[in-house]
Amino acid sequence: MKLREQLFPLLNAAGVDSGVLDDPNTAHIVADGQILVSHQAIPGVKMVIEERGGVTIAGITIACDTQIANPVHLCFGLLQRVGSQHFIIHIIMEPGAKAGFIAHGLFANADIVRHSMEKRVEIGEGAELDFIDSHIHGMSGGIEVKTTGKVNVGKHGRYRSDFSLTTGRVGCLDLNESIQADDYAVVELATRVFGHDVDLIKINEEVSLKGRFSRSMIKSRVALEGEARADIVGMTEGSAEGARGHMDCMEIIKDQAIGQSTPIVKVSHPLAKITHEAAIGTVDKKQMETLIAHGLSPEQATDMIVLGILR
Amino acid sequence: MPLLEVHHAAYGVGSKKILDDLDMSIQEGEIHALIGTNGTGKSTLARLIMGSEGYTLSSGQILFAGQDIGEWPMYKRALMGISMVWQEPAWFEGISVRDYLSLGYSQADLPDCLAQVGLDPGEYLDRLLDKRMSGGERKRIELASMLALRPKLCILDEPVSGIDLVSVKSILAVIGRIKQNGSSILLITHREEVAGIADRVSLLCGGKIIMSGVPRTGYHLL
Repeated sequence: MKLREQLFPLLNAAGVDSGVLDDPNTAHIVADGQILVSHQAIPGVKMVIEERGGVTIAGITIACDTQIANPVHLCFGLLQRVGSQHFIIHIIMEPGAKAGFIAHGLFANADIVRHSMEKRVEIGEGAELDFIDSHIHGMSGGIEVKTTGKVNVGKHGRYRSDFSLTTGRVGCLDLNESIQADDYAVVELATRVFGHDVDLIKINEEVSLKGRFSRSMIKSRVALEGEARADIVGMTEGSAEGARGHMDCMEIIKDQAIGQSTPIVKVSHPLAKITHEAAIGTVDKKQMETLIAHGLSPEQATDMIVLGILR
Repeated sequence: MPLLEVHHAAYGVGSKKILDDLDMSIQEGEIHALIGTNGTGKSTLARLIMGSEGYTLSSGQILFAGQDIGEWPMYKRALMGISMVWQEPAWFEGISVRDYLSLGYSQADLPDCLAQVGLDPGEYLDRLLDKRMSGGERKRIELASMLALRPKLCILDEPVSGIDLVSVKSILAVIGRIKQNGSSILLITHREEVAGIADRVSLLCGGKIIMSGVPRTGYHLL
């Protein structure tokens, strides 16, 4: 069986119809480790892919004022149990371009694997990018994921990112994202992670609202059980008139898990305003009792609440 | 035999007595209103019947369908057919109205349950029960869940708080429908016009039921 077809079941398990990779109107890149399995560009989406020193570098440009109807699929995974994958994705959204990207981290077979993805994004004036990064891991916990992002959002631009790792063991996750927002730009970051056993989660997200009337929202939802640990740092800096930012972190802790959240607020303009809220603790008693009074067992109620915040 | 019987119930926090030798009963198919001023222990009694964590009688008995449920955990009481709408409902992330109304293996017509509480099913079924929903909407969803769940005993703690004045009448009609569905209702309120829909009203004062009777014919001092 070809590598591409071998990745299909993993993709289907991620809730994605693998048929999208055969759709002539959908751009995609499929890679197994460092092996580029297939890629397809479509009108308005330009791709340049090369390998340099063990790192695959993919440059993707969305043409000026182009709206891409179907999301661009980035299927990065590893069929083998042991190995590594290193990617640099450089996305350029030209002014007025609009597109969605869905990255699938398919590591259900991974026993000892390192995956690193460096994301560099330039969003031009009035351009919009939705970037969904969804990981599917196996139960071994021997995976190390390092994701870094550096994003510049131009005037009136919009960037929405949604990272989720809620299926399988997290292993060791190190997620770093740094975003700069220009005038009237909008930034929305959402992170959802479920840590088990001795998983280690480190999330560091920084937004600099340097543009006038720029806005941002950082939302983190983490559930931990066993002896998992999470350290979440969210930083928002408002340095321009009318900049508005909010950070919202929630961690549900079970067993011997440990969660830590550090919100950092920096304001250097009298007309900027940044707010934050954080809640770390066990499952909310009121929510539990409400569900139990509707006929769920305490275990079912806990599962429903935890899965709810990660949805 | 009454559906619910509370005998000589006593409960306190530290040295403060909240319920003191309280007796009351709820017959099958009746709406029994429990009235009293704020802080008299109405909600405490509701939590004791529902079995909230940390709420156990210091003495006395709670019988449901003849069985002493005083030591039972909440989920066992819920499985027996006791459910409750709290005065301040909980909000949930990632749980839709449809998920919520389907709890307890409900086979009810969910759109109809929503329509009965004055919410458009097309608009609300797939909405999330998160903080974007107003208190009044959330309260209506709770009442819809009682229509869907059809508990044997439905405890409603201040069901019209957070509901605009114009809508109070329609909420009272919903409570009537919950009764028509076969549920008995313990209706906790401090508003007399709400108690007016009850078959029986008891007045809680000083930790005891001091009066009980039929709303239209007056109360009897106990």
